[in-house]
Amino acid sequence: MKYLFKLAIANIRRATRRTVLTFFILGFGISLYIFLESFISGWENSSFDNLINFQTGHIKVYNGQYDSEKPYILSNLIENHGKVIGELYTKPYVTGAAARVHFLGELDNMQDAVAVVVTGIDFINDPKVYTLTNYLIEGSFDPSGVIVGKTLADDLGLGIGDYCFISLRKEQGAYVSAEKQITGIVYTTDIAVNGSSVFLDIDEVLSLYGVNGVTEIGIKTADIEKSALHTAELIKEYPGLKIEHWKEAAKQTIQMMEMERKFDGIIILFIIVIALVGIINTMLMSVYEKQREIGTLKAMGMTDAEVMRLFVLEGALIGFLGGLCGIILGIMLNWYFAEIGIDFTKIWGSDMDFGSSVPAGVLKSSWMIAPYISGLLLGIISSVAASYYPAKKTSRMQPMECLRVK
Amino acid sequence: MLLEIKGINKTYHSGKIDFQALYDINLNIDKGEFVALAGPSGSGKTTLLNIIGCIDNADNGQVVLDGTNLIGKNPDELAHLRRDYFGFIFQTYNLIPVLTVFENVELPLKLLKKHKDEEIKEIVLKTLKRVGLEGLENRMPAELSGGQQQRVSIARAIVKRPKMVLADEPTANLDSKTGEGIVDIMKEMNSEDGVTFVFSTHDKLIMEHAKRLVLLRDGRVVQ
Repeated sequence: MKYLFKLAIANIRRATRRTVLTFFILGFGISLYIFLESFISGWENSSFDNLINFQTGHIKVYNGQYDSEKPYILSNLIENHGKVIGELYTKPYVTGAAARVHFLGELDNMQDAVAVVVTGIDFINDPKVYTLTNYLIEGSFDPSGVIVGKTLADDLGLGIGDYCFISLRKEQGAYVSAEKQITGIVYTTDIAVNGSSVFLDIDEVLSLYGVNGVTEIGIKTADIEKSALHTAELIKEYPGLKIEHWKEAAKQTIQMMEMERKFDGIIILFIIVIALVGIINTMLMSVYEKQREIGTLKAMGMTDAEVMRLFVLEGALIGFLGGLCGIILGIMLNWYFAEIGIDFTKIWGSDMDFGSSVPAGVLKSSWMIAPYISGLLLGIISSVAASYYPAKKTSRMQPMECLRVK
Repeated sequence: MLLEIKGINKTYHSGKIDFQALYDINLNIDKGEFVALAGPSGSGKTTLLNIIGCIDNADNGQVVLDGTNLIGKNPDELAHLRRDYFGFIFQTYNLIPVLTVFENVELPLKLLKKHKDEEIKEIVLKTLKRVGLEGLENRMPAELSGGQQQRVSIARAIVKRPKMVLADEPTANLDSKTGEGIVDIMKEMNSEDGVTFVFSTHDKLIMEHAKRLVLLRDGRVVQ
């Protein structure tokens, strides 16, 4: 086997230019695969972070009759939220629990009105579950005023200290309205928060509506990995409430990512086919050029199986070296997108909404070892597969047929 | 008797054209012989040599090597027979261009899988010294003259001490002086080590060195 390895290496070194080109084609394909996998993973992580940080926390608690298709109706609220939150804080694994209430409303700058989601938040407990305060770019996190998303504020020409009207429509159809001063502007990684959200003190929203219940309670746990286990415990403890793990809420995002992966699978397949054609071409050229040598080796007693092994080994080496080339290119490509990232809002504008799964601002790819390993294996396996046919064909030739080639 | 050929025929097929290269060949070769297959181009010398060396098949008849009939053997069995019995010297040397002189000569021993690396090194260096290539072990074939390349080819053929060395026009690409030198080496191996040599040639000067001459014309043994 050692001498076959030596021969295979010598053969690879023979046509340097062609071999380098093959490495590059294969490497380019593998680097794109690595980049796509890392980018989708980065996108997925950002989307999950958005969900957890702005919408769900680790665990979400609703009224037992809560309907996710009608999230803004006044019925189906958690009436005893104060008691539930108090109890939750006694659990050792709960690091934060905060109530929120969501209603549809309008934000009026006294000239134009824009439909918004009004979210009543508990200014003391909310930062223990969500990270809204981290994204405050102007003003303060003050319960006496209103906090708005930057895109929304820009659209309505509102700034810190400006007054606006927030109108809510009761179920009976009557409007209630409050004049509020803008005390904070947030620019988050969630397009929905930036473009259509208004945050007010929860007690004020409840009093405006004249209701006592809250839409949801978000829970932050000490260890996200164990949050599914804690969700199951809470479901048993509170049978009258609807309790969901954050991944339940992320179902849509997960489905979207799966679709994205399928689409990328097609691109990857396309890349592999191109790389395979390159390798098959290299191997066929290599086999054709070496027919006389193969004839000589066969005359010396090399068996068909050994000839086959020699070419498959050559293919595997090309795949391995092409894979290494792909890993280096992949690291270089991914470095830019992991460290600097891509700002979609600069490309499509800040009001472009792709749904909650597309984070706003700079989107960065992630560093994962898996695509690098699978990229290398992909290179080796595809090269071995590509070299199989020429190897088989050549190994079956009679020594005399090979020697006759001029 | 090392080799016994009985009534073999060989026809090549190229599209609709058939060309019979050998007609009813009968030939015996003993151990230690130094045989020249002579004849003009197209007389069937190379075809006969290839059939003897198991790199081509006869259509019918019998080729008995050391008591074993080669007709009907599968490719793997023939590969093992070539590995164990034969050394080949080609008219165009057929050295592996990407391997050094040393690596070319060690190849048959590597294929044989009977020797350790240290033994292989010793045998190869001794063989290279014997053919006058001492000190050129690390050269690439392209860095050698035609005569030197043919010496490498001879070293490669004899390094495993085969029972028979088959040489197809070994001097055809060399000038007469270098060709004589190559034949001298072959003769030396034959007389000192008892290696059986069967070589094809149409060079009368080379034929004179043969202990036995088999003359072929139009695919038939005429003498």
